[in-house]
Amino acid sequence: MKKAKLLKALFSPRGVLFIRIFLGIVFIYAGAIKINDPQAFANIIGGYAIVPFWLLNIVAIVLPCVEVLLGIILPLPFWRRGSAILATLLFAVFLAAITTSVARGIDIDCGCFSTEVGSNPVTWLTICRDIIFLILGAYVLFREYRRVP
Amino acid sequence: MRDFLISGIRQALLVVVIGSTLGLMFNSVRTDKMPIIAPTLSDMEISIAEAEKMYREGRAIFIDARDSWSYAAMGHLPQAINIQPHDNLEPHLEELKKGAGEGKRVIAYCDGEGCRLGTEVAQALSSSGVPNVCVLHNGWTLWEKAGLPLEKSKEQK
Repeated sequence: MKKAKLLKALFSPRGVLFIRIFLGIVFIYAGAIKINDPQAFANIIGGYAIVPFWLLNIVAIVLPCVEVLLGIILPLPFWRRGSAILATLLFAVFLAAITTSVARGIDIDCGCFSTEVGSNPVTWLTICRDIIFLILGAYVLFREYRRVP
Repeated sequence: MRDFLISGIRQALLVVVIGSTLGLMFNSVRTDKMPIIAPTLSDMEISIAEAEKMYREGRAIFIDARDSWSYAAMGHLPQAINIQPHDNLEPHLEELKKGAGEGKRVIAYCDGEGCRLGTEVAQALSSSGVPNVCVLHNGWTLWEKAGLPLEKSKEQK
């Protein structure tokens, strides 16, 4: 009974709004930490060995601000489609980057919620967490698509 | 579906453009602002003759990017600091920035034609805001062959 109520709440418009707020907080938190130390973030991105060196700094400079802005916009009642698409896309990119680094056996920091060396190693748990974020993002996107008359 | 995607992608691009602009503006007013485009490898390489000249003039800070055993047991270039890729750079940054600010060159090296450790460390230092960083490709072998001074220590990093 409780399970059915929980599912009903999750599938309700309020449930979707709750997920949007949650994902928004995730993006704001992740972005704000990286804005504080872009040089450390550039080093972490370099560790993934998937971004060309000359692009490292610009990614480290712009990505945190995009994350914070996206986190602010996600729960708001405008640009709903764009924020849902961008959130899902970013989670997919992060998941791909983390998965490939684990698969290649590269021992690096995730850089997801911290820029301190050794504080946030990439593990299979990190992948599981990102899969959950991706599912939530995709669900928000799906509900947004279904909302369109 | 098509309309949904077109308007959604347009909105997503707007978020990216506005966020990127804010990021660049924020970087431009930071006291520790980063160069937007990191220097490329070709800008960073120096020759053994240049490295020797810097050393003779007391204007070289060597970074040994080899493993700590090679550094301690085989020896290293004079007063070289042992930093490997993915090491925490933080403890070294202040000293290196100070030295580079005084006109010294930070010269990273490793051993072997195919070795990229020196390059990786040089790139990491450069993107961490250390100016005047360069790479002496195959530096250990070239330095040793040239009969230039070496140091041996048991000190680990």
